[in-house]
Amino acid sequence: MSSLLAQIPGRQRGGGAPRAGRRLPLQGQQLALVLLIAALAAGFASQAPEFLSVDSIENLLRSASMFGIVGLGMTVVIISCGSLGGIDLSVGSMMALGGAIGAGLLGTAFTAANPVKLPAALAMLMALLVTGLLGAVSGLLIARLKLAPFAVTLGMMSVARGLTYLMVAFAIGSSNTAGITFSDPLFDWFGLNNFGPIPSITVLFLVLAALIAFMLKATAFGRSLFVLGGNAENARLAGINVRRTIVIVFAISGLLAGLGGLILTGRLSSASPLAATGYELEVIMVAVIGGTSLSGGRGSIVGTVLAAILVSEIDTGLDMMNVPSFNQYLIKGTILVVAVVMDKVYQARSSRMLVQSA
Amino acid sequence: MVASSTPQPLLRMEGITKSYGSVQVLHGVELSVGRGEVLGLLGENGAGKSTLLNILNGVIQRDTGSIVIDGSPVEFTGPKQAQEAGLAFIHQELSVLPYLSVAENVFLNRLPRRKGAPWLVDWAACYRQAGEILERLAVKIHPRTLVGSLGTAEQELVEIAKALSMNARIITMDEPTASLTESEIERLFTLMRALKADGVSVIYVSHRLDEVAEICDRATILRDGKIVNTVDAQTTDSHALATMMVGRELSELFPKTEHERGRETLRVSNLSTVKVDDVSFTAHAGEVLGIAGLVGSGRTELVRAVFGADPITSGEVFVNGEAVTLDSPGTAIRHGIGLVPEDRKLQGAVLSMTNAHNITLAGLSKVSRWGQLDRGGEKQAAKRLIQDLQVTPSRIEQETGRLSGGNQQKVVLAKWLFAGSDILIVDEPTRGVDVGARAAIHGLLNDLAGQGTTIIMISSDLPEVMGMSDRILVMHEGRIAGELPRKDFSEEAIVMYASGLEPTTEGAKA
Ligand SMILES: Nc1ncnc2c1ncn2[C@@H]1O[C@H](COP(=O)(O)OP(=O)(O)OP(=O)(O)O)[C@@H](O)[C@H]1O
Ligand SMILES: [Mg+2]
Repeated sequence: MSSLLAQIPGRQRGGGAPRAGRRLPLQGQQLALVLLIAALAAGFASQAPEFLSVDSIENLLRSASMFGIVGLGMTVVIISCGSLGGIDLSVGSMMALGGAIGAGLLGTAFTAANPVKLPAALAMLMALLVTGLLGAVSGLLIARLKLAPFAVTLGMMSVARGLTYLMVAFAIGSSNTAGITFSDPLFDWFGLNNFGPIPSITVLFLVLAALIAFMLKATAFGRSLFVLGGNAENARLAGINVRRTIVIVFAISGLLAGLGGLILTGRLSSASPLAATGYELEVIMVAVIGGTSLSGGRGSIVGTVLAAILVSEIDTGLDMMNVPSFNQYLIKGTILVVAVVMDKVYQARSSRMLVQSA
Repeated sequence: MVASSTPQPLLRMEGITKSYGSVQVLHGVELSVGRGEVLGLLGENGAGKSTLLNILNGVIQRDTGSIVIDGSPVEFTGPKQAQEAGLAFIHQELSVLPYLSVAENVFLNRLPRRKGAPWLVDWAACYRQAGEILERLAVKIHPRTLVGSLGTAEQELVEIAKALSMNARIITMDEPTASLTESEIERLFTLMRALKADGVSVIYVSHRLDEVAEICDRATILRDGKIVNTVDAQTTDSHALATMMVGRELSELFPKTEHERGRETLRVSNLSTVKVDDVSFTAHAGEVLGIAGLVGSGRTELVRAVFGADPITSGEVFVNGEAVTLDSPGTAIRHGIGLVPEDRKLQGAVLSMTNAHNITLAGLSKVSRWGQLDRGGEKQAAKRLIQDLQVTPSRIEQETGRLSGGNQQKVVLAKWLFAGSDILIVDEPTRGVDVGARAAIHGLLNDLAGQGTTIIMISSDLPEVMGMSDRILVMHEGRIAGELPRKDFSEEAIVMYASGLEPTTEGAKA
């Protein structure tokens, strides 16, 4: 009987005096992430002391930077399209595709079947171009045909994976599932290089994070993303070009996924058609644990950066403790669901307050 | 109507307090309603009216105080308990579900069941009973219509029908008439009188003070969360009520100032949409053009089409003599047109954003250079508008969703004042706004007109539209049924045109 009633925000739980009408300052949420990162570090280190070794930390930073860069795109998508159910499920496949294009155009197996041999920089640019464009295509379908982002990007996930197979087969001239193995200084820069003690991609990640944070906070375009995520009809009536905005954010997500793929490929010195399978889970975790609300209109880049570290810490720590991968799936899935539930609880509470204020 | 001499109270609320965080919004409020009495609850925006009614109906919990119904204290942990105790509540903001039919909304979670098979819904009975209730309200809406396809006022009527269908002992109505026109209000009042006769009690909130004498027996006035006075509504005039609400003498409402009518800024010729039929009109710089008409007559649809928010099937729009294709609100805004929409919750304000961000939302280019926001300038502009429009609390960092309904409306208006349109269309600009702020808004609109802005104003409030306009278009069933220049304004003429009749008054031309 209460199922219909429950659809009215704020009506379902009349009981229990609502908390004071102030929400947790974001600082509070971010502080919690920092504490959690520290607590987990202590916990993992007590089980496996090598967790705090230089190698391990470097490895953790690399993986955090890779997921974080893709997570920045996811954050932007969810902030701006959350009210439309916005999410990008294609990022894992897009990473694989970006890596495959970047590696595949290098001409490592330069044969009659593969007459392409590009300088690494150009190959990478092509990779970013393609993944960015495919992202834009998703955005176009969502904006023009008003399709659900979930469905469109699920389709794109499969399309990008298919293209990855084709690209790899083209590059190595055979269609088995082996990857492209190669060695290239520019890819090494992505995968292996350090600035002092800090991996170069971590610097890249922080620079990109700062750029996107600036875009969200300090530009008119960034503001319009929050408006769109808060209330799409409102955004339209305020003169915001909703369609163009959706296309741009999905293009950004595609592009950053491509970049993440190049990093992954650089770390492994190989591009496999099976690369990055299931990585969309980590990336969505990064955005959601970072405090980006799946209902749109709320989110922060600082949160995303911290969550990228947290998620990679969990990955690294569990690996070190030799937790079998099926258990890792179980743990990570649970964490994601808990993060979503926490967002919902927060939403329910604040929408209840909104109803009261009416 | 006879003023009842405080009948045996059916409901007493005593010593009610409520705080949000460190802000106390209700300070020991006392209130009583007799059986079959209509009690007016009056107060400025943010006085705490909705908060009090939410507490009564179990939507939120009070901090202290007691509620006594029929002699026994009650404790509602949720809205459902309140309903079971015989209370019905018409919320200030619409709470209907857009993807359900009218009948489903009316009987939400109380759908009639089949005899002998109570686990099955009796749809025939559901639609029939919903139809009967709508008929009593004299509303021409089919019970099977999807609520989402109705206009705001019609949705409000569904909301009212829902409350009436509950056969409650006490009905609380939080600004039910804010978006209704005279004729629907009359119907509602007729029904309320019938309810009174049946011994049903009503708590009635409105910012239209002339309604108070018409329907209420007594009126309780709330100011800053405290009860100021309870008076006999029949013998207290609206000026005295307003003074008690505000706590000071009020400036005159509708301070109409005459200014030169300038060049033609907007010409609409033979415009048709799904709901608008071959409409032509012009508007001029410095003019306030009023649009009157019944609910559902196509007023909102007309201005939305002009704003590019709804598709046009035929017709042309000229801005400053130049033909423009209004394919999106963005285009309209670039041509200097602004629209304050009638539904603030869905179309007006982003409730999750702060006041400052809401205010600059339609004019971001004015506070940015090369796409980069000037956040200092943004804050200043927002601060100024919040003061001009008397938004309370006046913090620019306040989330708009936490404001009272009337204050949210002021923020929406501020947004379009900030965007600085040359042609400003306002759809029910003072809906839910208290008398004091209403005068401020009227003053602002007048000033804008004085500076050469074209104002197009839809209002269901006849005194408002007559007080403010230089010219009034009256719509009936998607067409312009009549046009009245200021010298020919009269309630009769407007009502006649609005109902599709020719007024007998001379001088009015169709
Ligand atoms: N969820 C909330 N959090 C914080 N403050 C709130 C909340 N809801 C309401 N308030 C504050 O409580 C006060 C009373 O609000 P309320 O909605 O009861 O006013 P109202 O008398 O109904 O006004 P209106 O005529 O505009 O509808 C306002 O100052 C408002 O800002
Ligand atoms: Mg209210």
